[in-house]
Amino acid sequence: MRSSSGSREEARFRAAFAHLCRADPILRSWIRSDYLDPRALRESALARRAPRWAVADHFFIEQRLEALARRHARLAFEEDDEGLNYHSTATRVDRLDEEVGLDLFRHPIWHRYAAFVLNTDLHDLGRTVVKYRRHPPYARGFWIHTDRDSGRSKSLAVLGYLNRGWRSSDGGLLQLWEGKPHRVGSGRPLRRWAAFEGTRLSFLERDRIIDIQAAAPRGLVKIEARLIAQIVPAWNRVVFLDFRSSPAYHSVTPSRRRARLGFLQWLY
Amino acid sequence: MCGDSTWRLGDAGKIAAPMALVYRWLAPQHLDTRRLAEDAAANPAGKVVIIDNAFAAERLPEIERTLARARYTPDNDGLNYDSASMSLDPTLPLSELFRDASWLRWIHAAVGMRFAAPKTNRVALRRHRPAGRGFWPHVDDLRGDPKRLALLAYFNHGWSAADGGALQLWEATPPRRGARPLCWHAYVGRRLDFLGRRREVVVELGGPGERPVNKLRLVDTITPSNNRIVILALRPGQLVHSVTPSNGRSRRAILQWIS
Repeated sequence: MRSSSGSREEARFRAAFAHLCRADPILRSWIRSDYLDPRALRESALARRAPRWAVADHFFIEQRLEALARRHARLAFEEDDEGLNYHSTATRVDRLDEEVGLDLFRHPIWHRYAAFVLNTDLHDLGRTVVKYRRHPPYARGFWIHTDRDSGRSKSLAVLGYLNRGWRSSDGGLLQLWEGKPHRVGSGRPLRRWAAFEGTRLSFLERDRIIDIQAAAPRGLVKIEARLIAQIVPAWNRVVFLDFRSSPAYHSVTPSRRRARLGFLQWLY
Repeated sequence: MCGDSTWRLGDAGKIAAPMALVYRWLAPQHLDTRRLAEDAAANPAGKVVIIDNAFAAERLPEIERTLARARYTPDNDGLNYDSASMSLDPTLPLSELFRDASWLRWIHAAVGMRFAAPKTNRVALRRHRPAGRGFWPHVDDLRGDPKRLALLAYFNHGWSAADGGALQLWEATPPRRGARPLCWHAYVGRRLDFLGRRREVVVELGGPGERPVNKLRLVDTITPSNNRIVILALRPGQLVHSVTPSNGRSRRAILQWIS
């Protein structure tokens, strides 16, 4: 799905892919007509350079998402990140024979759609992990990290949210950071992973520039993280996040009294 | 949220819905401003909200007709902004919307700002020529021109990132002592290509009056995609923004400033 922008041939390719998406019955059954053509989303993502990301609001057809949310409410979730500086529960659904949403999440054209939006490549076509996720009330938050991993690395993530009437003061905000090499002598404290195990990551709510041991493929790496975006996990909002063009460091602020519901899909 | 008939306009209370012009012009999913206000509150760039697929699809032809009839004249001669514009004809239906109380309340509520009747309300159609040189980093809330809100509505079909003309939002901090800024005068009449390359820059903020030196860090870059609205609350913090040069396509927008 990656291509250089600008040439006539390239424009034809993009138009042909948009046509394919608009005609695809599974995409049409899930995605609102405004977004069946993914080209505007892609250009929004490309303009942002690093990290490369895009947000689509009111993305799914309401009835489909409501059905997914009803099912989500009945699922049993397990601790997802025990002992780590991430605090959530999840159930992995991509290995199941049947689950609400899997017709979309397993659909090859949906995979291509997500890769197209981020102008990235999938190296392991068809491989995906899908988790339905629940952050409990008063969740401690997610440490700044990249989803890149060693070995067969993730290309991108799609995050979707199921939280009606979510307020920024409810916490649980997805934060995106620009990561720069750490400089000694910045005057800011270095946030060390070990010092925060099991504690609320309240500093994420305050600081816009953080010196931190970010979680990266080969362990912890010291970076200067600068906040560039903070996304409310609102109902029917989808975030596309690319890990090929940059580490796309991200985090989640601690929650307050509401459980935060959503899904996560990785493509490789 | 969609179609919620009890939508709320920030602190301004509820409005009897179907009578309001916004109900005719806006896509229904954006009528509830609470969600937008939460986005604005969370945005580290400032109280800014981006609204895609903003106008109702059936209203877009009317907007297209208005834009097609526009006769633009250069509005920034001799400055580091490169555009042409014209005031919106007050007799047009579109003008009725931009001056309607429901619209004005919607704009305020969308960025979580308490509504106050405007002292001035300027609406302009703006065009950046295909080789537009870009807009120098600046604030709109200038001394003697105390704007509090700016709305930018873009109408550019199939706009790509490579076409340029992106709105950039910057975080401003005091520069280090001795930092050498990019100077306003050195760029008059030149393409501002550095905007597309740099994520941090020390500049003299936009003139033509005072030009304080600031260190800027790029926070967001927003393409002028078709039917996208960006609302900027210009207070209490000033909001530094710029536009990258255009690369071969004419760029159209409707702008509204409220003081």
